[in-house]
Amino acid sequence: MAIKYSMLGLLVYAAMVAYLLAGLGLATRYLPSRFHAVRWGMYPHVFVTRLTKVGWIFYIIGFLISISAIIIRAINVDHIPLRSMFEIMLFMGMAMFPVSVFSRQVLRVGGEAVDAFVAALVLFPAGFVFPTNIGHLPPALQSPLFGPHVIAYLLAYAILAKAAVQAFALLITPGNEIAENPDCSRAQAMNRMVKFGFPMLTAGLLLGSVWGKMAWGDYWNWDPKEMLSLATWLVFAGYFHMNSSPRLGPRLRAAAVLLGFVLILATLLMANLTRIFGGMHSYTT
Amino acid sequence: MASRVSKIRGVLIWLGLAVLFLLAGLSVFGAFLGAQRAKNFFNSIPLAIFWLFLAELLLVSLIDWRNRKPKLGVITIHLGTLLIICGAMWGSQYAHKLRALWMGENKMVVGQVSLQPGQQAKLHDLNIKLEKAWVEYYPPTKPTWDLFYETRSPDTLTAVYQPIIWQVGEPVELGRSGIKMTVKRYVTDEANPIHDGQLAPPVVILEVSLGDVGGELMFSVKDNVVTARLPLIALFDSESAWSMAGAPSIVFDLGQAVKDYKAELSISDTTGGQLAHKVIEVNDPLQCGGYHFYLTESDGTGQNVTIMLRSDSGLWIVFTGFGLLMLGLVINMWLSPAWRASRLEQAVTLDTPREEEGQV
Repeated sequence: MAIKYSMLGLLVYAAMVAYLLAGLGLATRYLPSRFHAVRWGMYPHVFVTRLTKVGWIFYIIGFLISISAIIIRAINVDHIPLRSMFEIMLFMGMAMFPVSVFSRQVLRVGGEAVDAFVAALVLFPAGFVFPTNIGHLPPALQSPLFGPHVIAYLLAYAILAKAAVQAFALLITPGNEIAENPDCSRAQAMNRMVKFGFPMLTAGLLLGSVWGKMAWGDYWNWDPKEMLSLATWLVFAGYFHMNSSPRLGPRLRAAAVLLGFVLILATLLMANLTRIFGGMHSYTT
Repeated sequence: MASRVSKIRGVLIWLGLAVLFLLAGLSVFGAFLGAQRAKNFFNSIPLAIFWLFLAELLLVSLIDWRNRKPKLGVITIHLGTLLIICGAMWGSQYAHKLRALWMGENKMVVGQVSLQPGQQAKLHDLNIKLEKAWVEYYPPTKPTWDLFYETRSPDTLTAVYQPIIWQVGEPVELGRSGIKMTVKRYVTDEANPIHDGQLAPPVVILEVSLGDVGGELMFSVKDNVVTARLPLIALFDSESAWSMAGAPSIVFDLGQAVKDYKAELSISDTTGGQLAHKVIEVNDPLQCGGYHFYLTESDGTGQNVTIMLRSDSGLWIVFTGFGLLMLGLVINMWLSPAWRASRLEQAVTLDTPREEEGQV
């Protein structure tokens, strides 16, 4: 673990701070109203609205900083910066903001405070753990499918992480309602996020498969990372089949989503960071 | 009758769930096996029966939709998945063997051949000729060479490399061999050619000694060479003595990464008629006669190249399945809810939002 004193490192830290402040600002809506109303001498809704707005401003600032870091990295490495774990974490940190906005505006699913904290969390290894070594793209990665394959997967992971947050809340809280989304229960919010993320997860899998055929001769190479990503896909496919059975309630479905998310973590991190799962994806260091 | 159909549907859903979670568990198990063992495991006879059962289940579920309100997206998803499984089975090694046995189809699943530029080889009724092969490199990232001390195990010939930390004028011992090396000069100045321009920079002038034997060596390489080896045979009485000592060599490495491997390939039939000709590279194979031809291995100079050919049987069925699966998911999970939401917004005062928990 080391502090990065480079321009890129400082941008990562700045984005982390902005996301943490955004998370704190956006989380104020979860505080009991009497807490701030008395202390600040304001009406609760005014106070919360103002802090939420400040939270959104920091969220936007964090996004702009992280996208600047990605652009600088792309110029430095002279290819799509999605090869190393540092670059992947940087992209994930950037992707949480558009996912939050789309979820809020289109899917009517909230949870931006958690999203901002997750963005700060995924930037932590980029800032302190993974090296920023610049590496050339090896021949196999010089494919037009490289960018779409990785981006589809990373967006799917960000979206399904939101689904997992809703699933976790559904499992630990007795009620199914969300205070900030009166038109949407937790089960519905989870379902909307999974329905949004699953086609992207599939796109990532299929694009990788087509690319595998072009580069290595087969659309399925039984590589450990492929096997784990297939397991993830199957668990989420199972989730949709569970929806068809009335006997399987929302809590069981939430458990399936959490299982899928655990497999995502295994696919994203274990396959690249441990020696247990060697294979053709292990050059992503 | 209705309750019987409902029961069958219930059984189908439970079977589908069981199969999906079982396959997920097997996939996690397969991840721990490693690629080759996982491939063998998923192509074993019990698993082949499992794949057949899964295909049958998908087929039954498609037939079952005749009794229900048709959902285009869901049907497309299941049809796509069925095609992927069928295409994969059609392209498998077992299917190739069965077709050869029953239908007399003469096609190999996979094969490979090592060639040098100008050489040709016959592989399953096809003549493969390697016209030329070359390696492209990224520009060097540093101006000087890294030096490594290389030794080889006399039994396995496996090479071991140790980086040599050197400074001009300072002697360094190479491993525990007793060989001493001093970089006397390192010339990188393009404007200062060595030996009246006969040697182009970078030129390394070394002094190497082993006991009383030693001398000065001058090392230079041609353009586009990024790694070179200098065997220290001169320090030993004979080549066999050098081999017994672990074949000590100094390796010069400019640290240039490979950008691409390329090979110009011609495919002709048994009569000599050319079928295809293409410069292939990683990510860009040649397609000809029901096979794809890949450049799978190349040494650093492009003098030894391995070409692999792979049967395309079932490939387009699988790719059609991919397309249908993706299309079905987009229809079912993105377009259909968006269309439903737009209709609800128009009739927001007349209708309440429908419970939208997705079903397949």
